[in-house]
Amino acid sequence: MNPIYLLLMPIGAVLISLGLGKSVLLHKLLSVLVFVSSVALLCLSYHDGFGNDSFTAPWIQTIGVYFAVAFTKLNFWFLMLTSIVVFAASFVHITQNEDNPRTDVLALIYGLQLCLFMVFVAQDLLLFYFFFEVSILPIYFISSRYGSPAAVRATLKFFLYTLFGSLFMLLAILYLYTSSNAGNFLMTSFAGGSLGANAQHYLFLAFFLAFAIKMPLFPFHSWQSDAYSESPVESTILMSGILLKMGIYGMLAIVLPLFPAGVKDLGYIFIGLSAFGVIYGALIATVQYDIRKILAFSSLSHIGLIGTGLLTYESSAIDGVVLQMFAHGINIAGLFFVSEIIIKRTGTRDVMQMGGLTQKSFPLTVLFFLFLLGSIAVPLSNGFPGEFQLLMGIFHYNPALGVVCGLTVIFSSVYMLRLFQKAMLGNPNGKFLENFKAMSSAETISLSFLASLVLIFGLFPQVISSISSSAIHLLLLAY
Amino acid sequence: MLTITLLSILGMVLLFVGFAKNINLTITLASLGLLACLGSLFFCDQSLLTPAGLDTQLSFDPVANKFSALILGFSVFIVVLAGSFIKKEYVQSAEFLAVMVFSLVGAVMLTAFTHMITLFVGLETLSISLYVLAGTDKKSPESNEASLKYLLLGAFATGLILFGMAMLYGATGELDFSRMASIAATKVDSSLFIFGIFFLLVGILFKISAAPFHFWSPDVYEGSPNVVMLFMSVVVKIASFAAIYRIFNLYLGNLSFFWWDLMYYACLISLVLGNVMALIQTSLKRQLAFSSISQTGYLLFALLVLKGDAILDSLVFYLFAYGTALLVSFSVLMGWFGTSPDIYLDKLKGAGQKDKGGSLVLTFAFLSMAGIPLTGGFFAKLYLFAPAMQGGLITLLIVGILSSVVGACYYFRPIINVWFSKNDSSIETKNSLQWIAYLGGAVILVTGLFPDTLSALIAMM
Repeated sequence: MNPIYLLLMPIGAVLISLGLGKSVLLHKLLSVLVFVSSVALLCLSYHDGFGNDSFTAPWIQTIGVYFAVAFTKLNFWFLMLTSIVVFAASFVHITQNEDNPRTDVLALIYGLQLCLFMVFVAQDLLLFYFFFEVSILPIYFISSRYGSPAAVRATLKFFLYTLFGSLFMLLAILYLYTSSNAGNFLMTSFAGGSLGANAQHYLFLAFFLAFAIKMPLFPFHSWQSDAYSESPVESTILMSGILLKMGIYGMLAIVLPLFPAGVKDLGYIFIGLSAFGVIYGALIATVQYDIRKILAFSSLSHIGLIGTGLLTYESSAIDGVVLQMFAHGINIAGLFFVSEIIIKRTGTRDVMQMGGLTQKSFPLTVLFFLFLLGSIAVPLSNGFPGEFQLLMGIFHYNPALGVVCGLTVIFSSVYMLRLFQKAMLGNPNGKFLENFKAMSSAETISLSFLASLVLIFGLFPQVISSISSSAIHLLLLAY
Repeated sequence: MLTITLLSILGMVLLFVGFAKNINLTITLASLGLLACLGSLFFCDQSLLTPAGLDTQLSFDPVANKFSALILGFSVFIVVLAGSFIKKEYVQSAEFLAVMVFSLVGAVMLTAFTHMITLFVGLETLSISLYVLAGTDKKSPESNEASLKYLLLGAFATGLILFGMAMLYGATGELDFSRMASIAATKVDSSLFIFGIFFLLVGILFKISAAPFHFWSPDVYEGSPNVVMLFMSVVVKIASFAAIYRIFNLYLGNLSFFWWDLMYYACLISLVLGNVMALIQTSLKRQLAFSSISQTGYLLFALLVLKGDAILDSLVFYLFAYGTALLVSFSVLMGWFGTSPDIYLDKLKGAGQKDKGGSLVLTFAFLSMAGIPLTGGFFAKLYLFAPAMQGGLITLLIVGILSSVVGACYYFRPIINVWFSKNDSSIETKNSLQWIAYLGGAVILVTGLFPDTLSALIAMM
């Protein structure tokens, strides 16, 4: 199936959502429709077996840029996650602003979906770069306009950080372009490893900087906690759920196959740093009181593990990367969704002021607990297979490092259970629960859907790896 | 030459039309006249109406055509935008427009000279008209200051250029650039020639406001009436880059040994200084003045890569993208603030709630200047970065992208003030000329998505 169909859908959604005005029902319908149809299209592409699913047309002939897009086994789950997270984000926005859904936010969310789809399907480096960078704009405008007063500063920081990284990537792309004689930017023309080791080192550093800032890996993470906690929840979900996956995808699709020597010779530095980030993020998460910040640092810790696994070049770790990025996207979206329900109803983010929510809303407790299980990677939850494979790969790479990273299992239970305990259990804390409304049906249904994914992919992780692992083994051939 | 003749006639006609005291008629005539001149570039034989002897000193080759088309195209819109300013009772509308057209005579001449005399006459026709234009808001002390400051420093730069020309003539015995270059190529040891090139380049770097010869530009830009600042930062920049391109790429490209280092450091300093200084401004006009210095730095990439004619289209693309972004932002800002000469960043706060359309295109314009994808400015930068990468100018590129990040910092400040501030805004929203901004915004978006359309157009000229 032609990938163009998938791309047309968010474009249509942008135009339609702008015309829907304040109608909550229609916005919900549109959101569901976009989600269902993109999943259906992706399933069709799976059904076709990824054989002829590509489309190439010249875009900028002056310098040889092609509008080359394709469905591959590698980008399948990234595209799937995009659809899920965009659905979650748009639903959060609609359900949390029932009286006043904002068409501009929704249109920007669908616009972002288009950019993300493009990043994942692009087979041309400049096309990839173009949408990699454009994708910051929708999130920038949503966050700054509808976030807390401090959000303007926090998101500008996010913007400048990512711009800084991606401009180095642009230089690296231009270097690749000028050093190869192909005269175009197609990813296939750079494959084959004609680059010298020295060039690969620099190119690895440039690309890695862009992707590490995006993910973010320690020590490039300092934009993250502010941006996650000051933004409105829909953009936090998008940032943590899917935007950072562009970095992971970039590592898988560009860095690992094109610069194996760079990963091999310099990767160990960043393996050490991001493994440190695993522990660092977890430790900070345990001492935070702001529910958003706990989740932000938990995300730093989880992504640190993914980053560590990516650079080890171990096949089981990289299998785990895809599993874990998919699980992390769903779990973190669910957790931020739950946190927003709590924050909106109680008006506080401070976990010390919370307590006893179980007594008010049992469904919320159950759903929260499911996401929590996924996040701490309990067996049978979606977090487990990925984390297990990652740890196995890291252990295989270096047993000591495996042990250090393995601590994340303990730490994540500590901070997540602490959060759960403070917020949901115990005695209600004074006026905190006074006006606590029960969850609306839309909230329950959309959250239950996300929570069901936690279980489904926990029980059947091979659904994911059966598609992605053959692509990953191809990547490892370069090594 | 025909275009120059037509422009001169247009300027004189405009002076007489001033007797009719009908401002709209004057503006219509001026813009239609400029359109006709633009048409004459492509559809008429340039040797028409050419005084004997001048045909060898001016050459309307593709270089001249491309730059002149940009100059005249932008001028049409700038003349239309000048309406609100020249309707002030103490401004002589016909004289203002006539002087602007006279300065265009100089600007077009700067794109087409082959000879030092035509270079000098073009430069002075442009500059002297600008000294006058900068001071046209005659009841404003800042405008008078701008005019005087520009005159004094500009005259000094002219002196340097003349000094350089005299030395070049002394070293080679030629005033014609191509003959001069071929003579110089055979006797490169002449220190007189080196000094000549040095002074000529310094003078011209002054005119394009490259650091460290930029000190006049923020004050002059800020003090001048808004429309004159727009004229200076678009049309004058294009004309000066046409001149610098002609001299240092077309004629002295093979002698880069003499000038490359000086230009390289001017480029580096412009990038760093322009961006850093722009960061600390509170006035949007001053910020744009410093950003214009940093844009000069990016534009100088084109001359440093030494790729002959191949780089011309990239340079023209960049000037087009930058000019369009400035045109759009000024037509929005002039709608919001009228002829008020101080546009402080704080005054933009909350404008997004009052004028959504204007704010949107303004945002696009600033994104384009910052070189963010989806706008023409991204491809403009890309088309200069790619050849620079080919030429191995890695240090320059790294400084370039670092200053791009700094640039994004301050280009985002107006965007932040417009959209994310809860203040009530006191901007004027009735703007009959908003269509120029919308048109420009559409152009920015189209060139940002399909840059080939513009590249093909440029290649055709």
